[in-house]
Amino acid sequence: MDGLRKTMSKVTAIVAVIAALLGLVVGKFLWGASNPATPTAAQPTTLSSTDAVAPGQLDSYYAFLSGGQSGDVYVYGVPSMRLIKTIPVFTPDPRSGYGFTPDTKAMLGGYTWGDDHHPVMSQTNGTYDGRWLFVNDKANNRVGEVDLKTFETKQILNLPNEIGTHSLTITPDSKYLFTASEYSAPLNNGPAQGNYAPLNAYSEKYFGILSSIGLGSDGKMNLNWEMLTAPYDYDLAAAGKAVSDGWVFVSSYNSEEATTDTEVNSTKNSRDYVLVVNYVEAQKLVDAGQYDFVNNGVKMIDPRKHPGLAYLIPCGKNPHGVDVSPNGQWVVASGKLDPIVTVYDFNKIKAAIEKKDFQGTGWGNLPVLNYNDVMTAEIQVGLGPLHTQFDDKGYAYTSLFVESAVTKWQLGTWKVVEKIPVNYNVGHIAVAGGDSEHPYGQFLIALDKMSQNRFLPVGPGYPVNEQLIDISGSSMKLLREAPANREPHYAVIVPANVIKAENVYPVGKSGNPNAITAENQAKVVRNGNQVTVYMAAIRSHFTPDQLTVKQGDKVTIYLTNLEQQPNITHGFAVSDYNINVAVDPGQTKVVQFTADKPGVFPFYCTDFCSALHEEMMGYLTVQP
Amino acid sequence: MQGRWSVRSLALLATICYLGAAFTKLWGMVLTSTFYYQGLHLNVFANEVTGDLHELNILNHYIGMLTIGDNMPEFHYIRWVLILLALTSIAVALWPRRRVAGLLTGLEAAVLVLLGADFYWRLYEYGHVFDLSAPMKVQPFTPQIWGNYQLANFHVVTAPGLGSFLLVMAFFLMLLVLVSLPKES
Repeated sequence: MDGLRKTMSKVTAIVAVIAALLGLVVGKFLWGASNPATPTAAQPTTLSSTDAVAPGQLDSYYAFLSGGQSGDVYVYGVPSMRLIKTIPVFTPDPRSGYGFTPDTKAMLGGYTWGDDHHPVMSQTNGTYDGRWLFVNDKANNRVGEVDLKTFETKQILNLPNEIGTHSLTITPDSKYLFTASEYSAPLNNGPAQGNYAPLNAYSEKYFGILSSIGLGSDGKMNLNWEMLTAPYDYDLAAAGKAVSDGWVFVSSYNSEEATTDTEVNSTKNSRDYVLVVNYVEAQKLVDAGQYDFVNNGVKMIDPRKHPGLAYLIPCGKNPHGVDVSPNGQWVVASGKLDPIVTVYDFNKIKAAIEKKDFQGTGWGNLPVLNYNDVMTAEIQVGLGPLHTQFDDKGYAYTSLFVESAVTKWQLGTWKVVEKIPVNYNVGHIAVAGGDSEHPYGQFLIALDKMSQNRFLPVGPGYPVNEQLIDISGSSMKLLREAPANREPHYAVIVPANVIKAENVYPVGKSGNPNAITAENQAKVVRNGNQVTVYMAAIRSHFTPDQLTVKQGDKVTIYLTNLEQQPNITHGFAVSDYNINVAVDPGQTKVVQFTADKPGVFPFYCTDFCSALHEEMMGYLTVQP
Repeated sequence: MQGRWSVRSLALLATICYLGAAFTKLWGMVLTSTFYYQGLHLNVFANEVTGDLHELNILNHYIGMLTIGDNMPEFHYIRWVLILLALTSIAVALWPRRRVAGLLTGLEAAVLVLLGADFYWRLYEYGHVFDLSAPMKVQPFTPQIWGNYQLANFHVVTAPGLGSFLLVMAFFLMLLVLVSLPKES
């Protein structure tokens, strides 16, 4: 009997172990199965082909387009060319409250619009890194920065002294941004006169300005220094990369120094100049305290007093673009009124500077390099070449404004290989990563200024046309086009996986002392005629939802959206008080107003949030 | 008597299973809809409930359900109860006598039944006790313990978690221990 028992217990032990293992497997399976219930539809995937993007599928690239005179940045998905978001940067946005809340109002500094031209993406080792997007405001001389985690404007930096901030470029390590003035202006003459000087003193008293902006590792912009330059009109700027790292190139027109009838008077000379600046040396001067003076609080460098900082290179008449190839060796500039692009070899530029091989001197005795000694090729690209971009396969693309075409040519052989018509009058072009050391290629957007018959007629005011061109194959292919509000000037195209966008603001992580983290913290604090409200918004109600104040009270509402579900934004509008803000999940926004009108003013949620969205309301009663 | 060593190891295995249950998910629920395409998850552990509680509570407030959270007294002691079960199994491993095993396995059975009943009561309570001032009135319901069904706009999948299977396994092992031990005269 004992033997049988022994056998029995051995058998049961084995059975038990097998059962236990089996149980673990089954349990694990069920445990796993009860985790993410795999939805049968609507699971987004990322496409990488150039084919049409079906509903529910995501694009493979982002395109950030400057919004021109809208002051916004437009975010498109590529290749679908769907407009995904409009980010207000320099212009107040009544939809979100940007420019109306006290903090964003202060950031805009009283300006109600901007003219953004050239967005640039932050880079690490010459590659787009998806942290921040910068864009310049030509009208009011500022640089704005968009945080690409939240897609919200993070900082606006004013550039004193610089007028007509038209260009913007970033160094491959994201340590510096450079921008130059399209218009020249006199220096500050003190508070009484401002920067006034008569136009007939243009050549002596007016200066162009090149600004150097330092960028902290947290993305904070600081104005490092500004450099006086000849009173020309500076169009575009390109930071050097790889072999040309440490230098910045700026195209300019109006070497004639015309101040009237510029159309005629700035086009008399057969050559204009590319300004070449050694910014590393300039930075060293400033770091050593050897800047020349301070104007409007900015450390100023006068390159006429510091040989070796700045040079001029002759280029085609009235150039727009100056662009540097991914390897940093080729600097490409094109006169708008010459049918050629000129390719300069940076190694030759460096050798000429070392040998002091100059053809003469220009403004302020700055050395002018010998065109023929630094030029490598002149390429007949077509009429009205404006701007050049590079791909990952050794090709360059130049927009032809007059000809309404994009031309493709090869680096090294300097041969034009193909041309594709666009509709119409293309200004800039953008290739994915096309201004960095490591272009992605694949897509090119032609930012056409005119759209004539391409879209349904909408009256005499036309949109512009953004045309997506596939450049991955041996020949360029127009894939699709999308209208945009006037008018994007340039775009940054970046693979979707480079951007790490957040989908909510985590509640309690904002560091904002006025944010609340739970509904029961909502309260009203009165201090004389100052009424401070800590308000919660959560489906589908505001807490508190009855605010009673006295006429003349100064009301500050810190409104926190306590949602943590992506997509559940709440709006807050006060009837007849001209107030509206949109508050994203986890975000806190400030609404400030003086209750100067007596009466009853319903407030309500403006961002559709739930079936009971319209019931999400309350009353502001203002006692006379 | 060497046979008792395999019996001891079964009891030890049961101990491990009870301890495992104290630290793994006991029950889970996933609600999926067109909008909540990634699913809203609810995971019940011995000492807490985790998942998309913030969102579930926001949705539940429309029908006046109780707030789901770790404020239930059960979460303070269920882990200790499971640890106690583990200790009873250890006792059998140390003293593998049929009488001891009978007594303690019976005790474990009683505790497990009580835990199950309590859990069912809580499910019933969440589906039957409503704040009557809520915007929407719904028919009282009890969520299924192991199911796959449609609830309004949600597709609901519920299932016991690994922890519950460990509990069942542990008890099964203890039964094996019991039948393997010789009758005492």
